[in-house]
Formats: sequence, structure tokens, C-alpha cells
Amino acid sequence: MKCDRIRARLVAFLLGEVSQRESNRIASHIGNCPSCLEELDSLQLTVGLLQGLPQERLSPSFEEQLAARLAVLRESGENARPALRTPGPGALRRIAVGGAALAGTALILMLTVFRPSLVVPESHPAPRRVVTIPRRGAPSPNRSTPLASVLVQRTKPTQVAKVSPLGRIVGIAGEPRLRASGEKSWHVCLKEDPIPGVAALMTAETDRAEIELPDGSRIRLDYDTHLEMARATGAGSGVRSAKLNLRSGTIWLLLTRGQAGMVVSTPTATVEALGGFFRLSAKQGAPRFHGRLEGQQAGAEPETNIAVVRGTAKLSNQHGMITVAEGDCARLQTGKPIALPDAAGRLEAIRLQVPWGQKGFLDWAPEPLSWADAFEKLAGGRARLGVELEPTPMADAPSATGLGVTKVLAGSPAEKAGIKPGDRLVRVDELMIASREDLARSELLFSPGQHLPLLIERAGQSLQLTAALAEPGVSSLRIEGDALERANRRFAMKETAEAMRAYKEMVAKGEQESAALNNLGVAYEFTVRAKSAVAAYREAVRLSPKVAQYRFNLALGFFRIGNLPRAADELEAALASDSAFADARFLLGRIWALSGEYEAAMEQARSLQTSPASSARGYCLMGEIAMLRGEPKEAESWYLRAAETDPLYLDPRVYLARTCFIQERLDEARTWVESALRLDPSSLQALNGLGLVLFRQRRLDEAEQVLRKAAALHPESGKVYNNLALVYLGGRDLAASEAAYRKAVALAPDATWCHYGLAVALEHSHRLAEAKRECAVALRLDPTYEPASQRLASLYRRSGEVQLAANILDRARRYSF
Amino acid sequence: MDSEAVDRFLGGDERAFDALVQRHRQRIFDLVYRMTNDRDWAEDITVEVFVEVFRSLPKFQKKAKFGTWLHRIALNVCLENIRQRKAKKYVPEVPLEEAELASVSDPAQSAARGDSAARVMAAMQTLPEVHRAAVTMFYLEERSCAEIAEILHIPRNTAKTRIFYATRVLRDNLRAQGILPQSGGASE
Repeated sequence: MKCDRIRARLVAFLLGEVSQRESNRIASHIGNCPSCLEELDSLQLTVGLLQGLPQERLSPSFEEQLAARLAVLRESGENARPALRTPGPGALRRIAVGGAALAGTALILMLTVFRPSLVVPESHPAPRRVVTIPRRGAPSPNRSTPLASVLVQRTKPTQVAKVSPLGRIVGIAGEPRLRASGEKSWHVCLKEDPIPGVAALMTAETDRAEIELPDGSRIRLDYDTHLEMARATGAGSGVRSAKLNLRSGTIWLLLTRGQAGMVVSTPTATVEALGGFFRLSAKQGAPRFHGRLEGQQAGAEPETNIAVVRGTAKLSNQHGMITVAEGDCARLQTGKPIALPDAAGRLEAIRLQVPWGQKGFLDWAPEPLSWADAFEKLAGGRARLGVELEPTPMADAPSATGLGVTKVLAGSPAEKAGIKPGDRLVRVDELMIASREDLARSELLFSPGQHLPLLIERAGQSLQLTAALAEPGVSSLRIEGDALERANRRFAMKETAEAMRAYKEMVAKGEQESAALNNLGVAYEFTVRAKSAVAAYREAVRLSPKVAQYRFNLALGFFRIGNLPRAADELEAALASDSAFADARFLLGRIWALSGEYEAAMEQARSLQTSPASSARGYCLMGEIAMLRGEPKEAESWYLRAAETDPLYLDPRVYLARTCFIQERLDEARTWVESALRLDPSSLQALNGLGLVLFRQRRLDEAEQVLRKAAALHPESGKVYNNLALVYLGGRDLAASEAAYRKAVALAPDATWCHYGLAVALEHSHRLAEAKRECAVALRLDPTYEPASQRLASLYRRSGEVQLAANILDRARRYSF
Repeated sequence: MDSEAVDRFLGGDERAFDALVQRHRQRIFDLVYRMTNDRDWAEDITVEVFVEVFRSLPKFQKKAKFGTWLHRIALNVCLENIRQRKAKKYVPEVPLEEAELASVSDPAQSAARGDSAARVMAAMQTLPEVHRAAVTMFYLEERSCAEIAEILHIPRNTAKTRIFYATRVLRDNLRAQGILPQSGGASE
């Protein structure tokens, strides 16, 4: 009791607002009561924090602003007027603020109507879909070398690990560099075959790792380490486990030789690499690959495994059997069948994403695929020697005398070097050739333009030759293969500009024109060039009016640029040729809802209730309808239902996050985006969402971290850079903010928001003229964009151009109705 | 000094007004900024305040000191603006997945040097306006309880109670955010 009384007076005591007598009493109590002392300490800290708040300076434009306002008053002689007729305090402000708020409310509606792209989540599978035309010719029957490869997800833009068909990393594109933050990005090159079954790559987040081998020796991996474990331990020594000591970061261990591999990630110290495992096994004798992924992974979420698919594959996940198209990723669920239904389908790689501190292990033997085929697929425009070798001997012991050359291609570097059929190829550079794969490997390692020393054996004699590898495109040995497929691959690797160039080239040549146009459209959309995307889709539809996918993409394009009627027409047409097209139905439902036709929208939602997967979409759509009708509570329950119906469905989680976010329930919003991120840790939408939530929670450092990660994963996304810029702006780092906005503008030149954001940043740097220009650009792109007109008006007011400001506001008001 | 400038202004010397602005603008801006936690908005409101002072000065009856009167006007203008913004049911304009959060509010409002300062500012925003005003004037401007009572037109003891109460609420808030250590027991 006494403590309570004392505590009630502690602030007064602290501030010296108590009598001397009381002060003595309190002081003596505190001397004997640690908890009251602590209470006093915390109050003292609070007072200290309050008194120590930094002071903001008025900006230099304050004076101009006030002078402009006073000039108006002086002119009108208002201050001389009787008090009753003077406008009340802040009356002008009230008009402005009131107008802004009113217009703002209208704007929300406008936004929802005319910017529906907001509501179609990024993870929407459709716009990413790239059509693949099946490769001509069936795979040759005598393919026996199992392929196991892993695509490495880099956290840096433009740095994509090249994985050989044998699963080895042969280098990472892009320059290694040290960043200002002290973070290193990696350049890892594995020169030798590592321990069978184990190869390692460190990602950008890893700064140092140590591999401990069972014999007690350690290999330290450092910046630019070449991993040469095979040499260190003797190939085939059967090493099955390695211990990794990481200071921080992630390690992805990759497969070799279709044997086994592991993926380890850890935020801290030591991880035993072989723990649980996944096994992807093919049924013996099946004509095409049918198999399943079996998981055994303590505590990990098996659905975080991602399959990257070339061609088309049917995969089973929580949505049932789904078709995964070129460039798409699908979450794999353990224990469920995977099938590649057509000859063109190929499961190219499986990426295991193992949560922090968990273990994963992949072991698979998919459909036999010749290394040459895989090589072509994976190696892109690499240089080739131009020889064909005899089949690898089946002996256990590798041949020490090389392999016989069966054919030398005309005009190839091999021919120019003087190799003849019947020679035995023994060594290429430092690499002994004991199998066809060795040659493929050597070709992967070397770059066009390089001079390769060759060792061959001819009639019992060793000969040293040198082959000059041709520059790509110069050689007659250019990589064969479908132009579309190659362009798609570039796109999948996020080399968007390259891919677009390739698509355009195809269109110019009239090669697979409609598919190229469609994919070009997707690439445009990817770079937020909505109008160009529509034009491309339109041409694709004109050339191939029967393809529902093209129509859907066109509809999406129309939808994004706000042409709802045209979008609806295209969707109806798409559904006419494919009535089970769930994405089209979903989007059509949204369009009806946006147009206020709630009943028609509900009908679409109901007709989605056919399978568990699509009924979750139906619930989502019902949620969207409720949202548009202004019933967020109802919407929330629909979203929840969608999330429950399909625990692997990402969208409802993001929608829920959005709903909470709008209602300022930031903690809940955060919980939902985080759960979305558990489903897909690289989801652009969810990462963006998390960044924004953290920003609003004023956890700027964390927000920056998340968004930088998002930017690394999605270097093409203007939105991410925009948000990053916002966070920098919040942290008052004006230079960084401007740079990020400029990047966003470059990536999304048609997007209103980044021009507006850039204007804000420029204004903070007191570059008012430039700020005005950016505001004007934003308004030209979207005259209804209220924040831009408000800001432009205020910029004009600051520079005393009161009339111009009034005009802007006037026009904005006209638009807002 | 103030009263002399006021007299000159009322006598027709408009430059005297500039002197008053020069003298008080930063202080008023500080107050408004603490009240709003939004730099740009605070600047706009500060302009409003001086426009209002310019307009109302002829009515100033010198019953109080100019500074007190100015503060009263500043708080009135500020509270009026806050009230209006609240009344407009502040809804972020941009859904989560869109990047346009820039327009939700001016990003500068989150600007403060150092994370804890930003969070203290944010915590202050959770206080009722009158409490926020009292705390700001007390801690930032180091005004006495008596002066604050006069500006806010409240009894002196009420002003004191508000300051004490608000300090405790802020402390609890900062504790909850982890800026201040949690209260004892658990940590031991």
C-alpha cells in the first residue's frame, strides 16, 4: 500500500513539485525499496527521453509560404476587418484539408475502380505464365545419365549460379563485389568435382564457412574460395557428411552426379548436414517420369520446396494436381505424385528451401536425360569444343586414357585444333576426360574466346593441341535449340531485358510469333509497362484467337489499364474456349464486383466451388466482393475461410494482411504477411507487405532489410524500390531515397506512385522545381491522383504561384467527383 | 520586447510583425511538431498559426503576455487541424500490396533522428491532445505548471496532474515497446 502511494507521487518528486517534507519521506522510502527505485529510474529515463527529443528545423520555404499567405491577407486588408467576419482559425486550411480528405475518399473508390491491378496479387499465376512450344522431336531413347541439378536462388540481382548438368556449380555470373555495408557478395567457383554427393555454395549472406570432414580435416571457405574437396579427400572416398561452421548466413549445398545432396541453412554456428532427407524417386520402367518427393525433415515445412519446371509439368500440391508452366515455380508437397505428362515436360530442378536451422537432403533420379540435352538447356550460349565422344565405359574404374572421339563437327574449334575422329581425348586444360560428362563439364568451365590446351592420344602417341573457343555467335556451333525456349529461360533467370530483345527478334522474324508476342507482353507487364503489354497481347490474340491463355493475359492487361469492359469481354471469350479456366473466372468475378454487379460476381464465385483448390479462390473472391461493398469484417471471414480451406494458398493471407493494415491493426497484418512468407519466402507481395508494415511500425532498419531482400529477389520490381525509397525517406536519408525512387521510376516509368514519391523526396531536398516536374508527370499519368495534385498545389503555393495552385486544386476537385 | 513589437505593429508598422515571427516561429513549430509528429503538416500549421496571429492581433487585449497568447492561438489552430483530420476518418489510401504508401501520409512524419526518438514521438501521439500539449510545453519548452495552466485555461493543479499522469502513461508505453527496461522481478 505504501509503495502505491509513493509511486503515485514519484513524477512530482522527480520534477521537484513536492514539499520538502514529502520529498524526504519519498527519498527515504526509495532508499529501502528496490522496486520503487526502479520505478523512479524508469520515470527518470522517460523524462530524459522527452527532454532529449531532437529538434526539427523549419524549412527555408516556411518564410516564403508565410509571406505568400500574408501578402494575400494584406491585400484584402483582412486583419482590419471586424472579428466576426474573419474566417475562423485555420479556415483556409480547413478548406484545403477538407477538400483533400473528401477527394481522398473519392480517390479510394477511383483507385479501386481504375487501378484494379492492386487487387490481383502478384502471386497470381497467370501473368507469369510463359508459353512453351514443345521441342521438336522426342527425346532420344538411350539416355542413361541421371540429371540432378539445382537452381540456385541468389539473393543478388543478376547473379545466377550456373549449375552444370551434373549439379556442379561452375561459377556465378556477375562480378563479386564488396558492398558499402561491408556485406560481401560471393563468387564461388567449384573447379573440381567435390565429394560425391556434396557440393557447397555460399550465398551473399554468408561471410565465412568451414567444412569439417570426417577425417578431421577442415576446409575453410572464404570469399572467392575454390572448393576442391574431391582432391582433398580423394574422389569416391564415400564421405557422407560434412559439418559446416557458419558465422552467419545460409549455405545451399547442391547435388552432384544425381547422387545425393543437401541443403543446409543456419543462422548460427554449426549444422550437421545430413539429417532428414527428401527422396525423389522415379518408378522403374515408367515411360515418362512419375515419381514422388518424400520428405523426412524434422520440424521443417515440406511445402517450402519449390520445383522449377521446364516445359509443362503436372505437380500435386494442396490445390490438387496443378499444371505448372515454363518459368513457374510450384510448391511441392511431400508424398504426393509428380507427373510430367507430355514429352516436352521436364522437371528441371528442384529447389529446396529449408527453414533456418533445419536440414534437408535431396536424392533423386528423374527421367533419364542426356547430358548433352541438359547441357544445352543449362549452359545457354557457352562455348563448345565440337567433338562427340564414344559412350562412357561402364567400368567402375575411370579410364585413364581418355575417350575415343567419334565425330568432329565441321568448322568447330576441335577441327581447327586438328582433332580427328579416332583420337582419344585425354585432357582438356587440367581436366581429365574419363566420361562424356567430363567433356560437358570442361565446356561449361571455359568461356568463349579462351584458348584451351588439349591432350590427345593418337596411335599411341600423346599430342598437345590448342583449341581456340569461338565467340558465341561466331562459331558454326551455336547452341541449337528453340529460340523461344532460350528467351523464356532468360526471362526465368530474370534477365528481362535480354529476354525481351529475344522475343522482339522472334516477332521480327515471324518465328512463333504469337507465343513470342504473348511472352513479350508478360515481360512488359513485369516491367510495369502496361500499355505496351496490352499491345503485345492484342497482337498475340489476333494471331491466335483460340488460345485462352493469350486472351486471359490480354484481359489482365486491359484490367490493369482500367479498361474493365474490354477485360470482361476477353475473359468471357477465354472462358468460352476453356470453361475450367479458374483464373479467368476469378478475374471476371472481380470485374463484376468492381462494377457494382455483386450478384454476377457472386455467381462467378459460386461457380468456382468445384474443387477444393478453386473453392478457396471462390472464398477469396467473396472476400473481395465484401471488401468492395465496404464490409471488411465479412471480407475477413471469407479470407479466413479461404486460408483454412487451402492452407497453402498464399493470396488470402496477403488479403488478410491488407485488411488488417488498412484498419491500422499492424501487428495482425504482420502476422499474416509472415504466414504468407512461410508459404513462399520469396513472395514479392508478401515481402513488400512486410516492409510496409515494418515501416508503419517505424522499424525502419528492419523494413529496409526486408525490402532490400525483396529487391535482390525481384530486381525488376519498381514497387520494391519505391517502398525502399519510402523507408529511406522516413529515415531522412534523402540521397538514398532519391536514388531508390529514380531506380523505381526507371523500372516502372508508367507508374504514378514512384513519380510522386520522387517528387516528395526532391521537395525534402528543397529541389522544388524538380519536385514540381515529377508531380506534373505523376498527374499526367493519372490526373485523378489526389496526393500529386495536393502536393503540386502546395509547391506552387510555396513559390507564390497562388493562382496556379488554385487551378490545380480546382482540377483535382473536378476529377474527384 | 514582444509588447513593444506588438505596439509597433498595431501602430501600422508591419515589419514589426516579421520580428515577432522571427522570434517565435521555431518555438511554435516545435510545439506543433510535437503535437502532430508530422513535419510537413506541422510546418503548414505553423504558417496557419501566424496567419491567424496576424489576423487576430488587433484583438489582442494584452491581458496576458504575448507569448502566452500566441501559444494559446497555436494550440487552438493545431487542435482544430488535428480534430479535422480525425473527423475525416483517416484511411490509408493504398492497399497493402501497392507501393503507393508514400501517399498514405507524408513519410516525413516518421522522420526523427534515431529510432528511439521516433518511437518516443509516436508514443506521444497516443496521449490525448491536451495531455500532449501539457507534456510538450513542460518538457520541451520548460514552462512552469502555472504558465501551462494559464495557456490551457485550466487550474494549476489540473495541469500538474496531467503532466504527471501523461509521464507515467508514456513510461508504460515505452516499456511496452521495449525502449525502457521492463519493470523488475522478471529480470532478476
